[in-house]
Amino acid sequence: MDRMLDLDEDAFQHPTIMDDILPEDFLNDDEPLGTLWTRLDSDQIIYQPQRRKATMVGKYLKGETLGEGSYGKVKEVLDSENLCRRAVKILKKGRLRKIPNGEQNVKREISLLKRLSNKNVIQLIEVLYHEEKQKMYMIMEYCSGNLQEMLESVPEKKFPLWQAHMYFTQLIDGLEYLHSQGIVHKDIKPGNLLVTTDGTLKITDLGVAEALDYFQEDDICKTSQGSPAFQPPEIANGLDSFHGFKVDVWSSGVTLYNIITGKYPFEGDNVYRLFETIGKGVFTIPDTGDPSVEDLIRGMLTYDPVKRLKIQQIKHHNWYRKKISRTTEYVMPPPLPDSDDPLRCMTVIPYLEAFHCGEEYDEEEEYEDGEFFVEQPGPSGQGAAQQPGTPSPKLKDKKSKRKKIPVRKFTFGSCKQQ
Amino acid sequence: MSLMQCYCSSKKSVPEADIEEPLYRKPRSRRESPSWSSSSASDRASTSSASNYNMVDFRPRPEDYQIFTVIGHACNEQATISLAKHIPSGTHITIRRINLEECDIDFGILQHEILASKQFAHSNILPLYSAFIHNKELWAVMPLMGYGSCRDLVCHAQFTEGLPELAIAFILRDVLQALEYIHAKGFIHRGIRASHILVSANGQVRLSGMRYMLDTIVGGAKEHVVHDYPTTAIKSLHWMAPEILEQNMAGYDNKSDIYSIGITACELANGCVPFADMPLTLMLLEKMSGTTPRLLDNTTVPDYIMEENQNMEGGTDSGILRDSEGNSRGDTIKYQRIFSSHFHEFVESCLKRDPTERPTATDLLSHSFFKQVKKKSTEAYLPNLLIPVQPLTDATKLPKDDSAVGSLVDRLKDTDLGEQWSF
Repeated sequence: MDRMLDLDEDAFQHPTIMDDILPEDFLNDDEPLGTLWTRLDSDQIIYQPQRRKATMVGKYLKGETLGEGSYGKVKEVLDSENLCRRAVKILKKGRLRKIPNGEQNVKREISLLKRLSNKNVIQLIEVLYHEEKQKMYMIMEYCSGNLQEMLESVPEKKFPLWQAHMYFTQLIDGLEYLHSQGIVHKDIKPGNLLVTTDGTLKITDLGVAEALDYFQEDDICKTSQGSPAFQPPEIANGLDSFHGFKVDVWSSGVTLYNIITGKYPFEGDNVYRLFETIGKGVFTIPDTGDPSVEDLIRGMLTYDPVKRLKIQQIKHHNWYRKKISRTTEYVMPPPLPDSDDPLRCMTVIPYLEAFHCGEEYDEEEEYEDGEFFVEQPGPSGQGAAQQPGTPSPKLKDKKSKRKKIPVRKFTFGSCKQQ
Repeated sequence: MSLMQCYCSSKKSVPEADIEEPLYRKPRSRRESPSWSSSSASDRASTSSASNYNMVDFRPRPEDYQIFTVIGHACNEQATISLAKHIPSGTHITIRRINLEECDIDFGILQHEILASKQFAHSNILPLYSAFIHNKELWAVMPLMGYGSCRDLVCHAQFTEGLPELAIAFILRDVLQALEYIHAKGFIHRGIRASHILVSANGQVRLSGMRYMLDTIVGGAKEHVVHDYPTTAIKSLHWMAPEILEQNMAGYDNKSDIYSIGITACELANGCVPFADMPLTLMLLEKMSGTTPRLLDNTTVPDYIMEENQNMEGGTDSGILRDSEGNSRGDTIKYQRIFSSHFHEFVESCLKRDPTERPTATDLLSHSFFKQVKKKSTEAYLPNLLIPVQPLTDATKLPKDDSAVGSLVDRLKDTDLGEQWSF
């Protein structure tokens, strides 16, 4: 079982071979690439729905994979102490080294996230390390999906106006906070905007973000690693330095254009063509039925960064301040692959069943409350025994009279069929 | 207008907690009227019997309070509950002190608790007289609740197997009255459990534990469902409804409090909290798979034993009765007593897995379970039902100076307040 899982992860270790083949790669970064490989794996190689094995990362119990980034998998986890759903970004050191600036970007992202706290910026709960496995686990808030996935789940690839407005205002609020902290995100795009179960937008992926120096007087930046389709003309034209905050305004403008029309303002067959189109800065807006949003998009996609709208100007724009009443049209985060659960219930539950009920009935052994001997790839390492819940003292006494049977490994969710 | 008067009088007593009176207060139903619709503050004071606390001006000045002795702890042992005297009026009160520099509770949560408490004025909700910061400590001045919490009552030797049904009916009726009021104001309590239900020496039942209170009114409109997960409410998880724990897109609403009422009813009747004997993750699994706790009495205990035997053979695990097996005395009591069918039905309806099938607080108040306490005041009956438990102290019998504290401490030992007081 272990080896099979490893195989599955090894398959992601060489994503670079596809780099120059897929046009989406530069349009939408790395997500489609990952998804492609996932499907291949789960359909043909190892997909076995019956097999569940409970694994822990520290106090967190692992569930299903939520998504796939360039650095590694994102899985759902359950905090066994307060039963809160979380997401874990699993980073493999070996894989990070193969990505240009990989380790450096991750370090920067962690240091930035640690000092940020805003409703519309993803919260990093904690970071766990596993030296032996050379893995790093970033525990984050749980989100049910990103805007890109949601857009792709509907044929017209766009949101109803009220929903786009709801997300856009939150994006600007989050961005205002980031800028107030002297941080330029540099990679705003639907794929980096997550949505929680209650529809709150969270800006994520600060891997290529830049924290301005405290004593820097302006927002001049010199490097950019963001997704090409969302880059402003000054970067497309290869300028040495540019205004950082205005880069984020431009990418937010492209994002707004994208979630409202379902299209991109600038397109090209490859990065060079794309940059050429962006460099000219000429685009058209399909009819949206709302002239004020078109005006806002034009303001945000102004060629000259100096004349481009500032965050404060966006917040004073009529469309931003407008109240758009909710219609029945609503794009939900799509169910996970291989699942048809639109409510996005906990995927940890089958693992929990394996954890609590696994095997001991096969062996006709009595269930033991407080004792969990589980292979534990936590930060403490050594696969030590883990006690996720402590039984009440009263109970401990009573139980200790009985024979203690440690439940060693859980592989099958056998006791309760779904 | 009457509401405004009530509010003004309370606002005067706590100048620093400046809270706008919400505009969304709904007209109150007939049942709640005694404490509220009265036209003046004095009327109100007379209905919230026995004391004139409401007339006393509790100022946020530490020199006004003389602290006697610590009578309990709260908030994960990080807060001390002390018996104290309000010097200007001579009334005895309790003060909860939290050292803000040493506690790991988010200050925002404490602030939220105080603000929420100040928004409520109901005879079944623990009032907060005053709150202020003194020497790194947050002081919260509250009335003295002589019997402590219902958790303390259940911990008393006499009631380890649960309180008598009639007492539970009185307690739950009053809690539901408070809950009906809280829900009408658009809040979800999220922390209903026996340790948050306090009983005063004269038998008044008051709901506390406002820390995890959630306001569902956002921007003037009531949210139909909410998704907020109380990550710090670890101790209340056993009482929480499955839909809160589920944290999916469906969210939850104020029906989750009704589920907590059901669990609390089991706690009061059985003497132990359902699912308390298992790890949290297993509790989650049990709640998700629709396991509903029941009252343990002559009608259900034999079932359980049979189920348990079947489980041993069949391999499914109900996971409820583990704490009662092996405890022969408790089993006998549980085997002999009989709760009314109304009570069983009450608990069953509260613990429905589907929140839409659960009744509202208002529905529950007209449940047949409360027929036995109809038109009877809790103050008149409850203290008698709680004999032999002695209230912690009577406001009149309190020591007048420090010299008498020793004897009081002895009495405290008798009253067995070992469990935490969760205000």
